Amino acid sequence: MRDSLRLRIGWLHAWLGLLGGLVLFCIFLSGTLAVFDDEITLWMQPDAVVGTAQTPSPQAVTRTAAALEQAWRTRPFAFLMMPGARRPGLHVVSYDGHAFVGPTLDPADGHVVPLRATEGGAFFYDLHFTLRLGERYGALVVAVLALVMLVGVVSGVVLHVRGLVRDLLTFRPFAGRFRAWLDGHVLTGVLCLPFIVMMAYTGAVIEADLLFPVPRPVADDAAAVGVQTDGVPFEGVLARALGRGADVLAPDRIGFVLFDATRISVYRSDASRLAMTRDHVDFDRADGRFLGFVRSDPGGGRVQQVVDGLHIAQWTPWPMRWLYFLSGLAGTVLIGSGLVLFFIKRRSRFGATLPFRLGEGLVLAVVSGLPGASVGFLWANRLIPPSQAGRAGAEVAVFFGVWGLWAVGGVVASLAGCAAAGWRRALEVLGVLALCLPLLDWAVRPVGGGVSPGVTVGVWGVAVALGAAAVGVRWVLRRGRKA
Amino acid sequence: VRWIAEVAGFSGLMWILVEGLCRVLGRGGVSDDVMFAVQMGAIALLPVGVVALFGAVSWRARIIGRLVPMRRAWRV
Repeated sequence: MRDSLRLRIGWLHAWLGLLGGLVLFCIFLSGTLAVFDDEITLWMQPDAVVGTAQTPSPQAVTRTAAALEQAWRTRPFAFLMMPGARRPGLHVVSYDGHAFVGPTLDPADGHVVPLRATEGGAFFYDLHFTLRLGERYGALVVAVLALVMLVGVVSGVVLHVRGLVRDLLTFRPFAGRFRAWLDGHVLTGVLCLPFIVMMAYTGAVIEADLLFPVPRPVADDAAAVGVQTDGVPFEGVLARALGRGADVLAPDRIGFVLFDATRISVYRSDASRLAMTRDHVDFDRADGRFLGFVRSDPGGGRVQQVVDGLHIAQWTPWPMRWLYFLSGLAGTVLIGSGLVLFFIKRRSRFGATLPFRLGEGLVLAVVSGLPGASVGFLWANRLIPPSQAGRAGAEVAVFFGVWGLWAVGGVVASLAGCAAAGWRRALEVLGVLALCLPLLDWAVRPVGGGVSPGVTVGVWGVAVALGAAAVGVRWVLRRGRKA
Repeated sequence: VRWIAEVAGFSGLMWILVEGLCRVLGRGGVSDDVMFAVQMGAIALLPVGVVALFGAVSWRARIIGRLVPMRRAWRV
């Protein structure tokens, strides 16, 4: 066989795409859902209304101070997240290895809002960021896969560079199966090329220190957090810090408040601008005295902040947020269609071999199983009793349980030589689960709950669109079988 | 198998070069800003470099394929 450039690059694109694509599909889909992480959390906590005030009342500050002091007895690194436009309420939270968890207080009077325990949208963020493998190794795997994604994109551009404009205008969903999937793969790839390159590149740069560690002198960490100065009421110190912090940063620009043994640091909200600056105002922990306004580094550090902001997208207004979501979906379709194409192309030669069938079963489990498990996660949120102990973990267990069952079903169907039937059953189940989610929500949602109409419409709309897409692809598959 | 070895080799080679550069510069007291620029450049160049090196082998084969007959003809 002639060792041509196109042949070699095609081989690289296909095999690297297969090996990396199975996990990259998971990273892209969970990242796409994490664009609306706060909204998903709001939808998953429908039990009570949380006040939408951006500035906490004096009574709320007093109760928040008490909640913080109580939290530090068992969680020494607990801190305060201030109310935001997308997520109302005061949150006394700490990191449990996967998400920031803790009680939500109403900014009007500071009472603890009785909300069900759930990881909410933070689950998808954690899945995207670390694959649930922890910050060190999980984030490293994700960063390496971002590089693999970039190799796939560069090799894909080399393959299709001659027909980029033509590919942008070509989509034949009712042509032959291979042609239809290839059109979808190339169309989404070309259409969202800048977005996909930007997300893969910034995702890798965010973890640059994990990919290419630079030896640096070890910073002298602050002393233990949560040490209270004797004799001075903490609520007064906190109120003074929040009030002066609001004067410096603007009341709706405070994101979170960190505490160490000597200082209280009021940080600028990530949603306030593109660069995630980490500008903060410091106060003395003992008496609330103003210590200074620490501005972020204007040099290379600012570049890093812009890179972080571009990827994490906390700054985005609603139209831009939806554009991120839709572009993320296109990236997910790009990877999923590439995985399907790999097996369609090789079916005639290797379709009867064990590795082929095993691989095709895994692709079925990932491409249809992950969306199914995500919808199952939302179903679990509505079906598990709100007061059940350990319900946040139970929701996660349902997610992985559904995905595991899906994987077993897909691999067994593929090994038995009925991959096409396996795809049809999987799409039917996905369609039913997604289309019935609004009905379930309507039936079991607590009366007088706190989910806004906009959030409800958003979740229902995405679920119905996913269900309709599953039913549509199922219909096209049936049509292809008859043909 | 040869192509797998090539991809692994080129990736490993570039990784070692970049990692070594970061470590040398980091120990040399280079500022964080410069180090971050080096990391950003490395992340951009590594995927492009792997594809370029892997693709370039086919060009090398083609060029050698043209040069070798010329050399033989010159000797004759």
